[in-house]
Amino acid sequence: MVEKQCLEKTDAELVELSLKNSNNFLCLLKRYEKKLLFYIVRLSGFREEEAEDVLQEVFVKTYYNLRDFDSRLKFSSWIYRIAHNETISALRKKKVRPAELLDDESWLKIATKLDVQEFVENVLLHEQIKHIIDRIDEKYRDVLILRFLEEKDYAEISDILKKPVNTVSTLINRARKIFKKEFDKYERK
Amino acid sequence: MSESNISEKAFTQIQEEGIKPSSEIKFHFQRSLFWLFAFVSLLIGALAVAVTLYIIADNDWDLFWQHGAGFGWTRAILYALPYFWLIVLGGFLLVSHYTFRHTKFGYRYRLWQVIVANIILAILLGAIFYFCGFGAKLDYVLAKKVPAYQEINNPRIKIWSNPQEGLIAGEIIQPGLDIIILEDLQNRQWRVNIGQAKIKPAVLLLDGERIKVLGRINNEMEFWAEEIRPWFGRQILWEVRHETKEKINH
Repeated sequence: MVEKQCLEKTDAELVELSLKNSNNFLCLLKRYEKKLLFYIVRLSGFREEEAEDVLQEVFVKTYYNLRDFDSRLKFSSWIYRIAHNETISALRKKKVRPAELLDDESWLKIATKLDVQEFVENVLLHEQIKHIIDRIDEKYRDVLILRFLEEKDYAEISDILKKPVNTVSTLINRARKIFKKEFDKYERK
Repeated sequence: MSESNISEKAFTQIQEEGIKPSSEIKFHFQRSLFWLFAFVSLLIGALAVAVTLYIIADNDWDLFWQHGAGFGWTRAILYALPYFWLIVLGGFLLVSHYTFRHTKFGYRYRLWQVIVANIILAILLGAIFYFCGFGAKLDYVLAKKVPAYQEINNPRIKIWSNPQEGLIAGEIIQPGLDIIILEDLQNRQWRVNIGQAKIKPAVLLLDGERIKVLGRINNEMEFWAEEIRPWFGRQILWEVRHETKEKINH
């Protein structure tokens, strides 16, 4: 398929076309390659080569399960879900705690989006942010990455993580509170 | 992040290894299986509700009301609750919740929403089953086929094993006009004087029939009956009568 034709198609249309002719699947892969590679790195802290291996596996699994895709769901949510699950499996195999591996810049961005940037600017050094982040539960970390780094809305996060929208919202609010509480502690010091 | 070509690599792998999208039937089957499990769990939950309703409705509440029967309400209610079925109900609601959460969009609902919806459905369906007599029938069949079931579940056994309180129950092993021999639930034989007893219309006083007797101890292993009630509730009475008559004809 010509690149231009590819761009005109929606994800759902490309899925349909891929089932008829596998060559069309390459368009979908190219569309998501960069985004998913960033996501995997953010989620896992893997080095680029490791993340690429995970992503390759994600793409193969996506193709194998293509008929399981339900058009009531966004294709991006579905492929992010596969990427999330595959990354978590890879992490389990390696037995690493991912939060320790996320870069300061990403966490600073999250802190800013959580409306606690005033504390960040005034009180905290990056090392201190990292200290808080290292201790934050994985369930918050997953939601925070999707919301503030991948910029997904609550419904999409719900579909990716297979959690109710209300739970996603609760997790974000709790994460905000945890941050503020920890920042308050630092401020008093 | 550097420019890479993972898409090409993955695509080549797909082509070289001849990977094909898995069949739609497989996914349909997996999804249907979860729905089936959710439905079966709900069905069992509803049956548990039906039997619970039957056991509670069939309890001799009037007895506690009129005589106190030496029990008091708290004890009576504690005795009357069919714990076995309540545990079954709870278990299957959990299974039903788990399987529903694994259906395609089941994760979109919160835990309490799924549990409450399951409870409401189980109660509605269970009430229908109860009015159709399924609860009574299931209780009867299990009591007949599984000896331990009565011991574990049937609260009437505890209530009607109190000769000192004037309550006995069991099977007629020797019918008679004034005196019958009754083997109680602990397999002790009682000589029961029924000459002055008020006998409920549902009671036939046939050999092998199960009855409940209200009265008082006269002598050792002798009981003076004031009222005789059928062991099984109204919903199952016709079936019990039919079986008892057949047993006699044989």
